[in-house]
Amino acid sequence: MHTITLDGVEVEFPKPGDPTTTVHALADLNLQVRDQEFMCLLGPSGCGKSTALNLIAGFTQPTSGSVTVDGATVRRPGPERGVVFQDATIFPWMTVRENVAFGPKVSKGAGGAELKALVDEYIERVGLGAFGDHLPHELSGGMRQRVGLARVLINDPPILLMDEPFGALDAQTRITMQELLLELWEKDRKTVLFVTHDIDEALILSDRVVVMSARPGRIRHTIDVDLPRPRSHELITDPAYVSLRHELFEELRDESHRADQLEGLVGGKAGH
Amino acid sequence: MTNSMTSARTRSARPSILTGRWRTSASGLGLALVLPVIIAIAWEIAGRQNWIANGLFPPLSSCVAALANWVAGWQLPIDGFVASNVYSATWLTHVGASVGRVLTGFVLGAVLAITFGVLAGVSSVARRMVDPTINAIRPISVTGWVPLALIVFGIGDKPAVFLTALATFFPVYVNTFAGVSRVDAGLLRASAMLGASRARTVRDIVLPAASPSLVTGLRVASGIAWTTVVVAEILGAKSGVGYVLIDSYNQFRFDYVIAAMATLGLLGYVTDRLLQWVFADALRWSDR
Repeated sequence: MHTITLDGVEVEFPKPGDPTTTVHALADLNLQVRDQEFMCLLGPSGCGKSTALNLIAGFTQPTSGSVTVDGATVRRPGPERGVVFQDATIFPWMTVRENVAFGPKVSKGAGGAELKALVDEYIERVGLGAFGDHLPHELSGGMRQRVGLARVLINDPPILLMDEPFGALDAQTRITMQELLLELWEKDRKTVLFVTHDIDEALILSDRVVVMSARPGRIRHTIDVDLPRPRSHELITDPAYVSLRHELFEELRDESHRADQLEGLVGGKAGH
Repeated sequence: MTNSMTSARTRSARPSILTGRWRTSASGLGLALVLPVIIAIAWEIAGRQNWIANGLFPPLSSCVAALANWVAGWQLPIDGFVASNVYSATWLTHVGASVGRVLTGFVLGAVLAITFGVLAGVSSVARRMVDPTINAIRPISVTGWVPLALIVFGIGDKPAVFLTALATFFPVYVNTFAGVSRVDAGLLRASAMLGASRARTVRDIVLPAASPSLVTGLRVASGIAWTTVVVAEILGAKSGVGYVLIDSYNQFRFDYVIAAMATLGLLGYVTDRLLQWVFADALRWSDR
């Protein structure tokens, strides 16, 4: 059983550049990700969904409330909670092979022919077989994100945290990457929390979608995505998909509008 | 993914640091030689005609002959040149003495500077402990330390090594510290997330990420190290290129003075190229 639980989580921090003002990023956030569930956190930018993910990753600590994984409080990052970042954040001086080998090397002291075979297997699995000896700056954004995925999966983490990993990719590459992720996950179901602002991405990938409200972030709505698996992008014409999409669209439109008001982009009624 | 494949191919096409600057077209080379040829002719004439410094300034040919004598003991038949028995065929000994001092001081200073720079960049406790003191000492010019170094270490290798280490320390420390503090926080998070300990992260992530800045520090320091060793040898040594420089000056042998200057230029150039060559492969990822 690998579950994530957020209980009454609050996050406050001083506003960058204006320390007298407090940013209330998350307010009383309660969230449970079930074992082997694929959950998407959907919300307008700045709603605190990445903040929530960073708490679970152990990169930051909540101001109050508790963040637990399998019943244990999260205190620091670790290889049992793999994170795929928006900008890949792979090590630029290491080849693809070295990047993928890094996790097993530092966490388990792995090495030798055994590690080499494992690395080759994972590079192959994400479709980078021919690029093992390339440096990151020689790869496209999509390929870098494949490395980011492989270096995490090789640690075989029960929990996978993904922070808008395909957000910076072009539409075609994004679809390819979503289908790669689906294929990998349907073979080896990990507990996944996937942060995105893209409705289609959330619906195609997840079992449940949680819509977050604009600042301070809290849960506004949860929907179950009862669509058959294995999935592909052919789903988007399915009537059940279309109706779910409509529902999420309405939720998100309200929230985006409220977020714009908070940022003072629309009208003069900020905060009302 | 097609564009990524083309970008992957550019690796072999990119010129290295070494070849990139040396690749000069024939006409470019011709233009570059115009000024040196004019200077050489003017120098030779000025020396022969005793125009400068009451005839003490030697013609180019005498300087070349002095260098040849100093390096190999040759007696080139140059009009007006008399070889000096003192320096004949001693070039390697003196260059060896200087290189030994620079190398010892440079390595000593660099190792200390990298250690302190990494500590200060990684830990705020270490930074608050060492950074103010280092920055308080840093503005004192290295030449200002010469008298103290001579009193403490006497004449010979030690003051030169001490001064070179000191001169190396500051630029390497400043650049290491800056490089380490500017390491992308995302890379540190990624390393911790993948299971690396703090020490492992410093070794495998922080050091390579800071290495472009660190190498810049080493290159700047190598220039200052050569300057320093010459000053140290002028004032407190009985061997080395700096010693030959001041000793030949005292004997009015300006042809040997200029031969020593040319040697210093060569040594500084070779050192810088060597540093670039050593680190070129390690820094290939950063030359985009």
